[in-house]
Amino acid sequence: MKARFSLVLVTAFWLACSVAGTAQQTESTVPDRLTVNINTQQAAEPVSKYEFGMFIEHIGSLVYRSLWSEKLDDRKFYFPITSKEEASSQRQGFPGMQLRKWRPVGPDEVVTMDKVHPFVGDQSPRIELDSATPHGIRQSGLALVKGKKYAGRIYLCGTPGSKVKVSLVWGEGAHDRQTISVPTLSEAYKKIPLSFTAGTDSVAASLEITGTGTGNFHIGTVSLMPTDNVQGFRPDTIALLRQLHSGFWRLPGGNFLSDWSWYDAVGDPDKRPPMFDYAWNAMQTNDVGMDEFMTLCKLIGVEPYITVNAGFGDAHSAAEEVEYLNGSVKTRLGAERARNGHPEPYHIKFWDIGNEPYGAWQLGRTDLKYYVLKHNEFAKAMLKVDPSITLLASGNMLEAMDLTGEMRAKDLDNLKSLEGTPQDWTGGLLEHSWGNFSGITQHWYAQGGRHFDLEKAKKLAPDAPTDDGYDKIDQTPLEYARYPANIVHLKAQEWARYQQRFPDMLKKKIFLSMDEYAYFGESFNRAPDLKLALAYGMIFNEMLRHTDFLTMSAHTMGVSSVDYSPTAATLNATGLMFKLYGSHFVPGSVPVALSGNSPQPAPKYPIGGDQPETNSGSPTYPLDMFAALTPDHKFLTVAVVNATKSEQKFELNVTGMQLAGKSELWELTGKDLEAANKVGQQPQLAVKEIPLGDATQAISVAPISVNVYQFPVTQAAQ
Amino acid sequence: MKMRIALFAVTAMWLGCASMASAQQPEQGVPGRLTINIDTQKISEPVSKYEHGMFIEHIRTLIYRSLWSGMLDDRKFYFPISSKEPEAPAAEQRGPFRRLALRKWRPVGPDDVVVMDKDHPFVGEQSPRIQLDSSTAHGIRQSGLALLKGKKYVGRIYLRGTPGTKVKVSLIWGEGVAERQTVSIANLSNAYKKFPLSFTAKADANTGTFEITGTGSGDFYIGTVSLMPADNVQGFRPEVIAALRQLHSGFWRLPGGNFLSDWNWYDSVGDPDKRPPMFDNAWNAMQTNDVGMDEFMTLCKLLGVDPYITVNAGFGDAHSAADEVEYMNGSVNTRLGAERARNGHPEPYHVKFWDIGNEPYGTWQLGRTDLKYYVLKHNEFAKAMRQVDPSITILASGAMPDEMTIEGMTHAMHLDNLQAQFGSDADWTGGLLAHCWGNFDGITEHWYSRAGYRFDITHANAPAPRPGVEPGYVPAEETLLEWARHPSNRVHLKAEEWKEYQDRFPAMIGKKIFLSIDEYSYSGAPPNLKSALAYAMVFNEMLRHTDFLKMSAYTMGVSTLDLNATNAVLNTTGLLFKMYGDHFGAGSLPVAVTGNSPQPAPKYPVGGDQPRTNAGSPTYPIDVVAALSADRKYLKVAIVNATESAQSLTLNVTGVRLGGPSTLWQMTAKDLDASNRVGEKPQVEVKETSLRDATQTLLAAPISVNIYQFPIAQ
Repeated sequence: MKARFSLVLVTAFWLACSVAGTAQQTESTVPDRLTVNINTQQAAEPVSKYEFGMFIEHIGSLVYRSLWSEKLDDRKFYFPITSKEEASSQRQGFPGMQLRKWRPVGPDEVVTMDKVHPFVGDQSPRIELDSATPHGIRQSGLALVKGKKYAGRIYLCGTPGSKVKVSLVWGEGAHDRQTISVPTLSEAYKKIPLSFTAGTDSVAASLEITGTGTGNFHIGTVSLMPTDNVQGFRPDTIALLRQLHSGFWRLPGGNFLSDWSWYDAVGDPDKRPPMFDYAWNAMQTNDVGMDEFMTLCKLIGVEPYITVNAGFGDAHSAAEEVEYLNGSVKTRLGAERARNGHPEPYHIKFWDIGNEPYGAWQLGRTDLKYYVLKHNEFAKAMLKVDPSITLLASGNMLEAMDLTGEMRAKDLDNLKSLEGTPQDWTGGLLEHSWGNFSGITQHWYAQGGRHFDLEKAKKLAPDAPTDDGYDKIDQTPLEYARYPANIVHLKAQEWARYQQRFPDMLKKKIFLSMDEYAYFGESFNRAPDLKLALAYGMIFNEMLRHTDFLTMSAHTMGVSSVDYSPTAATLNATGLMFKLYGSHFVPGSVPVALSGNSPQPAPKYPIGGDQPETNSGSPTYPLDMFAALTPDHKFLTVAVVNATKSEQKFELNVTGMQLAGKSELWELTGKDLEAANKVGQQPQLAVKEIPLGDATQAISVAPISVNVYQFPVTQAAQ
Repeated sequence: MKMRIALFAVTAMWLGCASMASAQQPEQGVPGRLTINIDTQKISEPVSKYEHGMFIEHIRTLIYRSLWSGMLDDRKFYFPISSKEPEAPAAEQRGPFRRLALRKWRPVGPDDVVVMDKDHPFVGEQSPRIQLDSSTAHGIRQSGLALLKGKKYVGRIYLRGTPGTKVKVSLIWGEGVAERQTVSIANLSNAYKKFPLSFTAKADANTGTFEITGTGSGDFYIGTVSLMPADNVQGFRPEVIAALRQLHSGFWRLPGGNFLSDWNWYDSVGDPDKRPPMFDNAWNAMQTNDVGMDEFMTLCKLLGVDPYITVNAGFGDAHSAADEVEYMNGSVNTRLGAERARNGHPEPYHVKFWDIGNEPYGTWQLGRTDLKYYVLKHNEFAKAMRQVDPSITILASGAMPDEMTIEGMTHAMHLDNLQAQFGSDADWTGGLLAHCWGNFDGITEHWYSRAGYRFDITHANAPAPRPGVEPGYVPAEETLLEWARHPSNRVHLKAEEWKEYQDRFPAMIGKKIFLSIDEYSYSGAPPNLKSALAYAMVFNEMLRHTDFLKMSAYTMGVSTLDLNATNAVLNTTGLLFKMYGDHFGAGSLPVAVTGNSPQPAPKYPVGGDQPRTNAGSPTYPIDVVAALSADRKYLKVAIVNATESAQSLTLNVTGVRLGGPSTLWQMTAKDLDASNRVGEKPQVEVKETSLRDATQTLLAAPISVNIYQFPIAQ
């Protein structure tokens, strides 16, 4: 993902900027009776298994906070240990993701970092002992649940005779702790098991490792997890994410990939070196490595879709990654995987070469003319290892909002003049890497409350940031909801233009994978609410209208569908939406034609930039609808987004099939647009299942709601 | 090397630009009596073993034309085989690369009897399949081979085909039926088999042909084929190796060069017949990978030099570079050390010097990324490589402001001020020093001066660059001496800039961070006496900076030779390298030289390629360096006279007493254009003259390079 859009929904910073419904929209008149016609004889390509995929990245400690069970940060001692805050105020990660620090127990100088014989990485702490006063280290800020069991391990070596104690501490009192006394140490590192039961709930517990004696002791690494972890993962978040039927997760990044080496993320987790990722300025312990990501996918019930490092990484390393994951045990790296406990190849089908290689923010970014050669090298090397894989090339379609410099002033409203130029990344791949990919990726991030102003952007200084081209605007809830769907609509228009330029795309069924996208609403940090859910409803509807080429998409991030604390989690508004659509527009669903007597309004802004030639949405204004038959053709499923504050009614006419039997409605709504689901609080949003009785022609739709209707159907008699 | 400055001494493209000695140089007056003072008590750092190193690169077929004995081009059938020329005329048909164009395989019989099999290629992506006829011979042939009468040629061919096929492999040196020798092969099967080849040419030929044909029913496939003179030395040309051995180069930097950035070392080791050919997009050329990492090590051994390896930091990554270190330096107990042993080389090569990336700053570099990312990448490489072998010496690939300015980087960065500034994003070397500290021992620098041109910043700003030269180059009106001084000024500039870095990063001195000028050349100056004068001044200037300039490598190692397909001689550049290598070798102790005639002030504004002061000793118009031999038995004085008049000078030596017979080695010729060509009588020689006792008055002949050797009295 692009660095500026650093969205993490772990913390909800609420910026009050609720939009009043007063803007002067150029509304088309709504007919007295809204009529919706569905023709089941006009079917589109079936919905892909990968329609509602997810993206996850080692962005700071995101994976460790949301998915992984480890309680301790910096468990391999990448950072120095001191009682002082670092002089450089370099930010570690993101709000809510700062690492807890190890602090000395005793004076600072009793803890030194041994760089000569580290257990793992570049250094391991050495503790100088005193015969009476315990010296050691401590990490505070751990969340514990009363009665819960925590288990782990610690690697220690030291002067024989040292008495080392490891304590889990949940309070001030002498008894508010449980202590394990370590048997005698030796000069060689030994692994010692840890096991504790928390005596009380706490959000500020500590793990303390101290010793007394003469000489010193070294701490190699330490780990602590709740014992109910599922192969290292959090049972609560896994259980929620399983409900989303996401089809696939794209992993392990993301920008972070570009300076990350997969080799260091396999094998004994305690021996994997920690590394510093310059993409997000964050340390990575490499605990969740390639095998763990595969375990995650298995637990969630999805396929992995792997992006390989084409930043600082090379074709050989990518090909070896394919061999590690897909090679038989007879290959060198397949055998290594087997030694690591995974004899069965993972048979990973989808592989993406590089992450956003076009972006100036990408570590190792090179020009298009070189990148296409690099892509080809990667593709050939990877296919040589496993000819059965499906390769995706990392594209970026021509878009006015990306332009800077002279191009912005000159070509902003004439993108055709940029076709085939170094700016046209997707075009460059199509032209120079043909034969070396099956699909092309596209990422997008959109933010509510603004509009890209073409005239203003044209006049910007050549080096002005791309964001300076936006105006702040007031949006009705409907405009706010339609805005990101318009971006999808725009991508579809752009794709059609590529198909025109490269007609072989149709023959070869080159597909589009929108494998990073997110709508930020008004603020990056705002918790997903009903208002955002309405927008995602329109995004999903728009994506579902393009099943002919848009066969994969992945939301940023997989865990952004969950609101979670260190010890609990719940699906948030976005999660509910994914679950709603994922449950009803399952793979193999057959989209059918939907028309109506109320077209969406004409574009409010001049065409170009973020304004497509036509507005996204079905001709059922002010509603946005999408219809599909279930794969078994037994039900007609109709999604209806009502992003207005009024109840809406429509008449449904179905041709090609007959409605027969009792229909049902799943309705997502809340008392207001700001309704949200937060962990530890009463849910404000719910998907209600409402029996509707016999199929009816006249349907009313609740204000600010997303609805999925299921109508039993039979083949129309003649 | 930079693509636009494609210099080759293999082809001498003569551009008539002999400068007349008539330009209006702001010359200061030469004193009536030129005096040189040498103080042997003021001694600089000893001359490094790597002072006069060489660079070589797989730039198209250069290595295969000059060093390697393989006679057949495209021996792994990378290109399709057709009687028609490809539609687009290949670029290598023109320009200085003319001689590097590949000979092509052509069908024997109609075009359609040769089909490229892409399903089960022997090596690479395709192998030719020949459809047979029972009576007419079908097959392929390659013409244009140089053969010597009585010389033996040996090789091998991999074939498979319909049993019963009769294949004939012929070496042909003339039109007549008898002017060929044929090896018959009959026992083909469905699996590839290797068949030995051996021929003796019965006549000299420049257009010999190698032909592979068959008759029968069904078809046969040609996997790969190789042919070399039987006197090859582990695959290398004996006459070329012998000539280069004389240069005492200390080290060769290899295997590239720009080509590295899309090249994969893994594919260049193991059975040469099974190494896949690849297409290098840096030089738009196919590479057979016959001369791979092990062969380069053999070459260095044959030449008596240390290898200095540059790793691919273009499309390549840290892991692959670390694997390369393991392959070269790992014990047989490591995975890749064991692979090296299986490939016939159990002993680790103990390669000491490793350069990360080639010209990563250049927009021409495949995979080029910005400085802010490159420094992180460099650090990744250094850490991974040192983890494999902590004993290696790592060089970071730098570019000082002059290089960034002259080669158009500031232009490409759209900077308002085209003169790159220290400490800015356009200061690549400064960026390495600031962000990669601890991850290198030395820093590299490349320079290519353009004969007949100088860099003009004003012109660089002008919108209309000259076709064929970089924006900013303008024709230079230069006297012979100015022309000869021009490239040494580039060395002088590097030294000025290095001092600036040492001021900015004082720890450089404590850590002995050194400079390696490991690509340099006076582009467009053909090897003749005139360019020898210029290179002598380059050498003199380099010898003045032994305190930090520890390595240098000339582009290219084989540019010291004039060669054809069967023979080679040292050209003037080669003679000069030999002369300086013989006398200012490793351990020589440079001593202070002063004089009563400073070099003239800079003619052009400082910046671009103009240093603050001109290069040269204060002995204008001649240029002098002096050193004690490593054993301190001799004082050596190099004198370059790049004027067309004889110069006489008075020599005062303090610190030692000279005594005994001295010797002069003098390189000169009847005119500046004099050169040495293979097959022709040499026009330039280094004459050794015995002088009687050390004398106070020395004479430097017009247009000459002189090295005096004075014994030191004990």
